[in-house]
Amino acid sequence: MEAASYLWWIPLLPLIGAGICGALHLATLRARKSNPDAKGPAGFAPLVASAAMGGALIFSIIGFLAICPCEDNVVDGEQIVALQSSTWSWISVADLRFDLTMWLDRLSSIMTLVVTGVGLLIHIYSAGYMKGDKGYAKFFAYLNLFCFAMLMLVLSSNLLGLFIGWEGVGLCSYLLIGFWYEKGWPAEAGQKAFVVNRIGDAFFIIGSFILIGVFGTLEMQDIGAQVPAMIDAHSGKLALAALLLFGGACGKSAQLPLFVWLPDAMAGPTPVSALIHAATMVTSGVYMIVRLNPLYAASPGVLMFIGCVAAATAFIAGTTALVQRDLKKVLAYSTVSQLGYMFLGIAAGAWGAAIFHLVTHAFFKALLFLGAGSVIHGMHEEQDMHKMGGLRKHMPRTYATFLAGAAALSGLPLMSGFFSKDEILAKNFAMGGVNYLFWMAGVVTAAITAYYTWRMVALTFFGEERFDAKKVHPHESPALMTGPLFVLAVLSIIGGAVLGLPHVFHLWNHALDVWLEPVVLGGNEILSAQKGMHMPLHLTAVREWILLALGSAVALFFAHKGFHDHKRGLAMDESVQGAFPVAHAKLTDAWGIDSGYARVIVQPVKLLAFVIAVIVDQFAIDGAVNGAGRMASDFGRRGRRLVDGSVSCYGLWIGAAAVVLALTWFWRGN
Amino acid sequence: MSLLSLLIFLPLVGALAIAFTPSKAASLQRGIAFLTTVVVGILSLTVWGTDDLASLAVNSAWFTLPGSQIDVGYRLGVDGISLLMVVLTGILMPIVILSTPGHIKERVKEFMIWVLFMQMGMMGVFLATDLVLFYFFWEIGLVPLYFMVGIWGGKRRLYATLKFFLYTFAGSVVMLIAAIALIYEAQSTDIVAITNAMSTLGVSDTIWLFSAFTLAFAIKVPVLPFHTWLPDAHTEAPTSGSVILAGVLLKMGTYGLLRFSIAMFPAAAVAASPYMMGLGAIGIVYGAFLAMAQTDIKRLVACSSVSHLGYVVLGLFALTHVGLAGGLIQMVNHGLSTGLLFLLVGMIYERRHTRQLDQYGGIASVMPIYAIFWTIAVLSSVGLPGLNGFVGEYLILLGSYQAMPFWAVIGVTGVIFGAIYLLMATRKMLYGPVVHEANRKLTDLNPREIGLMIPVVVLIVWIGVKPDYFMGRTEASVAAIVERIDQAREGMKVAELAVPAPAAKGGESR
Amino acid sequence: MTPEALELLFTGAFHGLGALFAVAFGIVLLLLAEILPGAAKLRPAIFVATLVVAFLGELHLLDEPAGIVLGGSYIADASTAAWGMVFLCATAIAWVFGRGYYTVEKPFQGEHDVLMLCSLLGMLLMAGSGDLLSFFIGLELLSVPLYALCGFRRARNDSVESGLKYFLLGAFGSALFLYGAALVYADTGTISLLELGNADTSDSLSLIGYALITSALLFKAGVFPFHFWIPDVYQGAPTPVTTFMATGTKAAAFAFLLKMAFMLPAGAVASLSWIALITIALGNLGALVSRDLKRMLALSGVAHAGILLLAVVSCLKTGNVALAEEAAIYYMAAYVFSAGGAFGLIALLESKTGEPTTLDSIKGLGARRPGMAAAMAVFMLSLAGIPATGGFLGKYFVFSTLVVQADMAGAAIIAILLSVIALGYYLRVIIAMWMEPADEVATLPAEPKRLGGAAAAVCVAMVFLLGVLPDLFLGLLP
Repeated sequence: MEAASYLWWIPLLPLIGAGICGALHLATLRARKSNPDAKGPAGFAPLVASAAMGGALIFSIIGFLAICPCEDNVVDGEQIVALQSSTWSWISVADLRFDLTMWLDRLSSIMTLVVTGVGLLIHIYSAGYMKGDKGYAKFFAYLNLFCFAMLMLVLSSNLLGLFIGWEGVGLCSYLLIGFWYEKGWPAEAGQKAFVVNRIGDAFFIIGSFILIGVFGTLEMQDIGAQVPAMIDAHSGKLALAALLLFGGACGKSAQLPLFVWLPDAMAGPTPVSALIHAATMVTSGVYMIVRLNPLYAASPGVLMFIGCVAAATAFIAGTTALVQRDLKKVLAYSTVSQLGYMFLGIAAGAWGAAIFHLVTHAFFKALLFLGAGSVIHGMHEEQDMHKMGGLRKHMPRTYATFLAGAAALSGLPLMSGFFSKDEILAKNFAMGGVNYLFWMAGVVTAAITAYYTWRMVALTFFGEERFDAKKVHPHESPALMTGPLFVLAVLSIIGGAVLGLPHVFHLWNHALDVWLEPVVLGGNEILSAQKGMHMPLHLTAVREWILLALGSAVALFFAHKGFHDHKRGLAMDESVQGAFPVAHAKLTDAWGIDSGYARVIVQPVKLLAFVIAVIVDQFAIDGAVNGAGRMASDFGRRGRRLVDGSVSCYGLWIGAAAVVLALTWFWRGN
Repeated sequence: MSLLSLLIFLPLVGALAIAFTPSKAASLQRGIAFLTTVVVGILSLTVWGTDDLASLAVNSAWFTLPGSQIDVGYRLGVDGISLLMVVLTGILMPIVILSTPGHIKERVKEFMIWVLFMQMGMMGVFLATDLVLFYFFWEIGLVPLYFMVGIWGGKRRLYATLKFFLYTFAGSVVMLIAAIALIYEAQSTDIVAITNAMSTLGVSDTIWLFSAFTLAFAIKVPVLPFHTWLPDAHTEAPTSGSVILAGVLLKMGTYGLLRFSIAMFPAAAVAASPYMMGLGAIGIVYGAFLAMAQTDIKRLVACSSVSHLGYVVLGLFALTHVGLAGGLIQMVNHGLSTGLLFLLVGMIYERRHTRQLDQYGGIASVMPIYAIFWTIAVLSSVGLPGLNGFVGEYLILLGSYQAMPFWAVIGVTGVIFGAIYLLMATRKMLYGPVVHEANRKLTDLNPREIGLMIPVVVLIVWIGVKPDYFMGRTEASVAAIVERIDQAREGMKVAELAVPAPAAKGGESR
Repeated sequence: MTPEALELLFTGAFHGLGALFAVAFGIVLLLLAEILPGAAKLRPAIFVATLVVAFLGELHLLDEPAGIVLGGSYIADASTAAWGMVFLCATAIAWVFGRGYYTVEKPFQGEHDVLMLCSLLGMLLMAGSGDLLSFFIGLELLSVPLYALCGFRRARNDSVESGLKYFLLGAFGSALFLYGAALVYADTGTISLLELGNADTSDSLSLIGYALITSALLFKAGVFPFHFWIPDVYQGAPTPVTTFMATGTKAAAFAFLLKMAFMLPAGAVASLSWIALITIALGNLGALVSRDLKRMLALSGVAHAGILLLAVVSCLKTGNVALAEEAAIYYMAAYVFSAGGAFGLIALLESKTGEPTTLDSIKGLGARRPGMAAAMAVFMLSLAGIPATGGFLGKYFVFSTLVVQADMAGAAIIAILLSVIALGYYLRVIIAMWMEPADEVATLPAEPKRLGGAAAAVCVAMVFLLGVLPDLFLGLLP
């Protein structure tokens, strides 16, 4: 590893950009004070923000080049695989130290490239999409702030530093989901997202406590290095820590049972959905686990549990996506389902595959969301696919790029999604045992995915135009928005082949796996030791080919079916809804999980709050306090009744008392 | 006159100066008060700047207790524990004065006098190293707030102020008896000497003294179930009163817990730690639920104090190094973030004259600057990493996890519930459409209001980004206390081993 | 009179009787001023001079060796002197605040002052008395003028009633004392305290005797169950007289109680401490529900008597008279200035209207008479025992003797928790004055006379001095 303090600039540039954009926003507000529809300097915001992202991208590329396997990166026979920035000592108590260090190794360099690259594209896109919004500058401030947090998350070498980014992205997601807070429900969606994520964070925090207890540090490199030594002594604690951290991941990466916030998060502006709720933030759970791969490798039980959760999530979310009418909702549930896919990869110990799918997904899902945004933009904020149709002639560029994204998502052969999904399935297959079940779940989900993807395409771009042509005039979006679409389209198409072409093609070997070798080495060794098989697993060429063929077949068949069923119009949807109204309703509501929570958790919490505040606090505790006061005055009044105010009565008391006193002393005396 | 004495008595001088101004000259009185507090603030910063704190100590004779050779001294001193509190007081008071023009319109003269008295009392409590002197300032501190709430408070102010005074007084008189016994036991009123004498004693010798002191401080903090005076006092108090109350006054309680209950009677503290941690952890959740049910925004913030101080108690009584350090920094954090929240609540109240949440909504679109400050305050008190709240909460929970995982886990749930009620309040205040016409023409914050909140925000961020800078000053003192606690633990082990039968059990359980 | 004459008074055969003589002499002068034409205007001067000279006498006595004079029936020592100074302060306060209080009775101010001095003389004699007889003389000398003073506003029924009640019950009290003394004498054959101290008092006769004597003293001190007369009498009596009784009489009774405490049987500890606690409770609870300020303060005085009785108990338990006496004197001194000042302010408030002062009539006083209201607030806080006031240190010392010497922490805690109730009504006074708006109907209280204002100021100053610089006064005590 080598000192490279310029790494700090990767997160800091967006932070500075955020600051400047915030200032621009305030300046705009000031300008509006005098004249409500003044433009103010908000116009500069996209330039500043994009420049910041561009700078970050450049630094990440520099860092990437610095750890590339090539001659000039070899220092005295040692290949540089990681860079480390200077250290900001943050918290240090007793013998505990939590320091902030930017750590760029092969894993985090991939992540930084994705975040900064896709991030930059989305910034550019937003410049067009958000034009004319009165919070224009504010939007870019938030967006930059988000990128800062996300880059902290991926670059920090310390789990607590990661947690800074972890909560930071949560905050920005909260702010951006609720960006149009005047409408009310976006604000509620944002709050829901934050609170649900907080549930995950609570697990995360406890998990970190256990790690501190075992390793005495949260430096992830040290933890990874020490795991093998700890397995025998603390396997239980390690498993518990891994499980709790995965609980955190469930919140961020929208897995069961905490996925309910992501569909609502679609209330935010579409670029936000693309950047945060598809490409970057929601994948941070996957990143965190891969980053801690030795820990997870050391607890196979947890891996299995992750697999079950992931399979269930992928399936449930996929089925829900089948029946959505809202274009963005389809993509949202699809995202949840695809995240489940990534965790399936982790369940098979296929760290590389998980990251591979993470990257390709970032490409094509961002593309799809941006395309959807372009459609919604062109349809005057209409999101219901049943009110669309036949848009392909109105917005050809959007249509073309959207097709590419759809192809990738549905895993049509040679598209990026095809290879990444196939690898995840292959590894599960190769792992065998319970992973066969995960493999099956994966195949089924792939089928479902292909189906709803092309249903979406058909409903949106084909069939008769179901919108009121008089009111709505669909139009293609400006180049500022379509430009990024094309870049992403290209990536979605070739990205898979470039990064992770399976070995069986014998063209070039699996780039990403090789690249991540040093990062996942620890995890693989532990797994190999446990399973008695050599990680990473490889299938025989024959089986590999069979799986590839199967994958293509499933994808093609269901894609065609989904497209064919819906290209005529709503007939299919209506017939299904007519045939199974109840099932359809439940499906639309994600199997009724969300509303279930409202009944089982939210209402009881509210009730409990009321009980505590009114009955326990005011009635019981405070009642006792005030009661004491009242009792005192009562006694006071009673005390008066001891006498009636007449001399004789007083005298009686005095005499009696004197006698009593005398008697007591007399009696005491002898 | 020494620096520390100045910190205590300059406010008194200022108060006297104000007393001689014509009662109509409000601006003059504000000016004097502001000037005084600023000077005191600067002095407190110079204390912060001093490296050798011991050199500041003051020790001169005061009087001799009748029938004994015990000399009650005028002893002042500052160490890592009181340092933070002193600086916090020094910084908050000018802000408080600056916030008064909005809500203190009549009887300004009296108010300023009381505020300065208040500052004298608080500084005295944190600086006194003589038990009798400490008790002096401890109870003097009650009087000014009693007047602030009672004169400038809201509708139910008389009830609230009487309740507050009686409640806390009941606690402190019990402490008085304990102090009398303690002074006799240690044959000294010098807190340092007493601590040295007491901290070596076993549980059975100190448990009663411990309980008496702890009761008094627990009422002040307040710890469940002695908390019901707080929401009333907070809700009825004028904004500046609430800020002082939340910012500094409650810290007198937690400070006392640390300085007396824990440092003086470590053995008893170890014995009581599970129960106190329990009260703290339950307090976190209880306070959060309490806040959730409130419809009055100020009362909601008040209840959130119960929850946040639960963290402090949890951390302190974990009796681990991490927990103590976290609890200490959290005292400051709560002062800043809750103080800021009360300032903001006051500012909106001055404009709209209601505290009912349902009377608001959509404020963010009419008062964007206000919304920014509100959001910062909320994020700080939900403990967002990078802001001050997180540092305290994380260390507290970590420390208590090292001591008793169960209570730590209960406390962690507070992270969730805290987010629920604060974001709920934020949503109802700031977001959504503007439903009430009255809210449409609200004016955004003026430069004075912005200016007085800036220092607080700066500190919030500073502590969040570089807590080491602040905790470094306290480290030594905390370490000293930890040492005492460890010695006490050792002593108890020995005592247990002395008894044959339970010794085995004790061995296993440990 | 010349300095030499003074010197003669204060030393020699009459060692320590200086104050007594000064007061007696003052009485004579006042009476002369009554009859001599044109001398009336001298009266105030004479009164003040008397008090000053007497005070000097006591001050002088402080650093003299203790002396036993008049054949042992008078013991002049430092504690006697200290008590004497307390009485003198009480008298001064009562008298100063009383100036301008009487309207109808103005012509008889002279008698009033004479009577006051007479009963002051009684107090001094009580505090120093060396045997039961001289004490009894002192007791009567104290009481009889007070009967007259209570009924001094003869035009008003409540005043007359108060005087009559006090007289009848007082007679009862004196009878109790005489009977007790007789029994003790019958048993031991002596009435001298010193001899009684050595005599064996375990015999039943003297036990009963002491019980009766104690009852009489508790009656004067106003302790449960001998206190029921207090509210009525204090309320009815002219306020200056109430001031005088509340501070002076109580002090005198306790002065002697402490003197003879060491003779009481050990069994008395339990009964007396219970009596004390009940007294505190009843006093505070009663005060809590009374809206008339005089009645409230009267009952609060009962509570304070209870606390002083605890000092007596600790003295009785430990036999360490000096310490308990020191605490009690300090407590009493603080009480004299706080309660005296408070009653005095009430006198000022009433002086114009003659209406009773209630929580309602003082509403908004802070706005109309800030000075008076502030002083009253200080007195209230001192009575409540808030630090920086004399009340706090007095409380501290008494409870310190109780906890540390007598090892009675339990009783201390009960007592001090009961005193929280007291805070309740003290604060209500402040609330009324400072936090509640004035009633429209309430008539504006009289602007305090310069004299009264000065007196209040002095009381406030003393309260703070006692609270902040105790060494000034602890130095004077034995």
